Amino acid sequence: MLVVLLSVWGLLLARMGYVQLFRWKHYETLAQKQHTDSLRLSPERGRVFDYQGRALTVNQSYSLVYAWPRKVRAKDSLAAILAGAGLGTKQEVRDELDRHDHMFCFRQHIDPIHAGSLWQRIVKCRFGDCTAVESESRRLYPYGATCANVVGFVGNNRGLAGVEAWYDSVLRGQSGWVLMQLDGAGHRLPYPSYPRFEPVPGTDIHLTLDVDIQGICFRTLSRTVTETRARKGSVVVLDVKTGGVLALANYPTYDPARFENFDASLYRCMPVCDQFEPGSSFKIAICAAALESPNAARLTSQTYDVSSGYIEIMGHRIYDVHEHGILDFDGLIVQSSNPGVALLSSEVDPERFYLITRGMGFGSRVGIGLPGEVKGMLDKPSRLNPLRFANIAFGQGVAVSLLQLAAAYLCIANDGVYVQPYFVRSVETNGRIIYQSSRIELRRAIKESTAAQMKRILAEVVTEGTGLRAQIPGVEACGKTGTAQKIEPDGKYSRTRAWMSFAGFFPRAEPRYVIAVMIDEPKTIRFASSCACPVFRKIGEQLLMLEHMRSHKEFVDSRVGQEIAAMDRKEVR
Amino acid sequence: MKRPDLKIIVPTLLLTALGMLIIYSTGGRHYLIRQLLFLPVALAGMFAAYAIPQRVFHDMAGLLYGVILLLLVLVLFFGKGIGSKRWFMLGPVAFQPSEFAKLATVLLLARSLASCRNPLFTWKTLFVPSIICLVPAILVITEPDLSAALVLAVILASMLYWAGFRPLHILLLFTPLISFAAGFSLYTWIPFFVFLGIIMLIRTNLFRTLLALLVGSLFGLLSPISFSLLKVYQRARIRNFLAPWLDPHGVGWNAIQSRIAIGSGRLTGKGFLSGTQTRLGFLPNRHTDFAFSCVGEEFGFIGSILLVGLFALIIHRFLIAARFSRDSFSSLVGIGCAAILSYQVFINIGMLLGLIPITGVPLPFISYGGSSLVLNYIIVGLILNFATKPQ
Repeated sequence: MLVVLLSVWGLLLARMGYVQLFRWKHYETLAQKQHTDSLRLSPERGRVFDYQGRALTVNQSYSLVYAWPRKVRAKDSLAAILAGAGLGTKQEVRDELDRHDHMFCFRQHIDPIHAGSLWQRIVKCRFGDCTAVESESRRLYPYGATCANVVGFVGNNRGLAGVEAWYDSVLRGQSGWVLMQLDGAGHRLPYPSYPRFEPVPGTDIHLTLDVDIQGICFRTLSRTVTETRARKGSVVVLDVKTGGVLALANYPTYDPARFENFDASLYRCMPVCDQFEPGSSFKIAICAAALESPNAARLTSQTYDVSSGYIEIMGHRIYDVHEHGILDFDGLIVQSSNPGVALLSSEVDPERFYLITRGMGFGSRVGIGLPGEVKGMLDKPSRLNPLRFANIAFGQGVAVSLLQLAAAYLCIANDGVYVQPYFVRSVETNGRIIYQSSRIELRRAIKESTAAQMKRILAEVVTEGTGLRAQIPGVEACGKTGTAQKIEPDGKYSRTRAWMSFAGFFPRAEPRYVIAVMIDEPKTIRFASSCACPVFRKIGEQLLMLEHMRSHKEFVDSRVGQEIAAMDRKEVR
Repeated sequence: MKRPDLKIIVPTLLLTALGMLIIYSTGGRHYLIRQLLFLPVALAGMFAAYAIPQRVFHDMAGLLYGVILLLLVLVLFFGKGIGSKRWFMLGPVAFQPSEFAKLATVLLLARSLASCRNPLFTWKTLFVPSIICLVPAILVITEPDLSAALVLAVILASMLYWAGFRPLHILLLFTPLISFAAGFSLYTWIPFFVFLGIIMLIRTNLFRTLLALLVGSLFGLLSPISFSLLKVYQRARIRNFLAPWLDPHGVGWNAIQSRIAIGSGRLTGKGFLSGTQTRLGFLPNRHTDFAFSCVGEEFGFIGSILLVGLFALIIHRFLIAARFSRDSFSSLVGIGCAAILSYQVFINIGMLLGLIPITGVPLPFISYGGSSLVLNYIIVGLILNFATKPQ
């Protein structure tokens, strides 16, 4: 008897010791897992502004009302309260409450102020246990498709494209949490003394982008792309003084409010993410290399005979599009003669050409700060033969992004100094500036004298060469066209499909804007001169108009201000 | 004048006080007040049991047994309860006759066994005690309250042993029952049969061995059949004991939760009123059957040891009282009461620690419940009465 009793007692104590002294860690973990829960407090996402301080993103907070009809004692009076808040007629609400049994989202997108008073009324009438009012926030994009390719969008609280994606960690902020107790039924019990970590709101980003200019580019581009039935088009506008990106437009694009309805390939920023063969607009590189050569004096003074319409290199013939006869050095660029440039290339050292081209920013990423930026394609001189080099000299067999092309023209406009394009002007939190960028002069790519000569040649292109249609009334513009035939599946250059580009800057004397345009496969047009040039011209005209309006507005504002001040002074007297 | 045994009274009062703390911690003021209201009744019961001469209990045992049987029949018709009919509702007070059936059975058994002069293993001597236990057991199983029926078996076994029957005979008497219980799984049934066979072969002859095994296996075969006849919750409890992790949110919930609460109490506990698991409602019936998990959580291993120690002390004094009482009736009652108390303590704590299946057994003096409190105090009073010699 005693043995039985003692063994039973011993068993109890042994088990108790095992559970409480040896396995306590296991059970304590289980216990903690069961009764603690953390509630995530989401931070307010930082906003994105344009150069003029206009918000490109808006955080709109709204409220949702949930109801749990099974728990409602008096459906009629609850229906009356909800209907009283303007959420439908009483009968509608009643029907809806009858239709559901479990918790459901009754209404979304309610003004938070209304929701607050509604919740007070609900609590007062003791429906607090069967309804809930939660607040959430959503991201709106007031400029929609115009800025979509740059700004991007947010999905599931995470930036998925554009600035929203690239600067997600900056914009997102830090989420906070509050520890809660959970009871056996799964209810959260808030404890005021429980640890709480306040969310840190995200940081605001100010871009150099100007919504007005972006809008001008987007509208002009979309019209051209639609009219010429092109596959797509891109435009870059840079501020010459600072290197800031004023516009990065492409068409087609998407609506960030309904991004899920669009193909994901449209989310990219095409001027940054797409590379193409530039064609003749790339001839600035060989031109600069020739001008910097030791034999520059001979190269610029001699003439180039392309009267046969073609030249032959390594058994391949390079044809000209138009008859040109005998050209001087300027004429090579102005008339955009491919055989002429090929002749020139045979007297330029490929090594020097490569260094100058890299110096102008080709073959490496600009580092603009958008997802998916390409670095283009530029062969090393060791891999070149005379034919390949001649091809590259007139812009075939290389790949560039439109932004790189614009940056190269920016370099010429800045008298040969390569200024890095950027588009984050400043990063601010609560009005405190964390980061501010300004003109970044990376290197001197070409001599000042070279840049000056090139400006002169590029101005000639517009006044008497292929870029006639890029002329902007009232200012002297510089630029270069480029038509690069695409390669057909059979390996030959296409006669109908081409990338058409024009890059340039104005005014020639003191450049303010660089504009680069690229139209991909316009169906109705064969040459860049009648496709990309008009876009350049239209954008340029509108930019000048905009400048004028802004200065005029400031003038008017200041005049009015002075007059009012004067009147005030009179009254005081 | 008799002098009551303080070594029983003091631990009893200490346990009751601890019980009140636990009820306040788990059930709040409402249950504490109700339990406090039962305390005077329980104390009065104890004094009555202490003061009434022993002879009265001896003579009235049959009558008391009859009354309890009648109540057990009545509760089947008028009883209340969740999924079972266990309680008489007398206004706000619930009365559980099966609690008192234990005591009535002990008294009548003691009287019957005390009158038996020749404790030999014959069917005649075993017949009457078995019937005395079987009738209330069947009634209680019908309620259904399996654990209250099992306590009667434990009472019978320990009192037969104390009356002088050989353990082998008691084992044989319970063979059908054990075989039936073990028959739910071959893993329990086969070891039991090997054990029984070896014991029988050593102590008796081959014929009796085979006979015992045959009878045993017949009952063992009954259990799979009766398993399907069991109530759903009883089946779930058995299955849950064998594999609690199969259904952690269903029937396994209680078994896991009680261990989490006790285990997370560690050595010193989380402190009075600070147990998260019991207070946040992870345990159902936490103020009744699961009260010990609150002790384990809030007072830790030290508190649990203290509680078990107090029980051990009381039971030890019960056994001493049985050993040194003046006649065999008192002695047998002492043993019966010790069996009732031990059974409840072991089953309750054992189930919360995961040693045995979850059953509805309250922890004496600790768990909320008037009938249990009153009965346990009456038992203490009886022992105090029988243990002391008249001066």
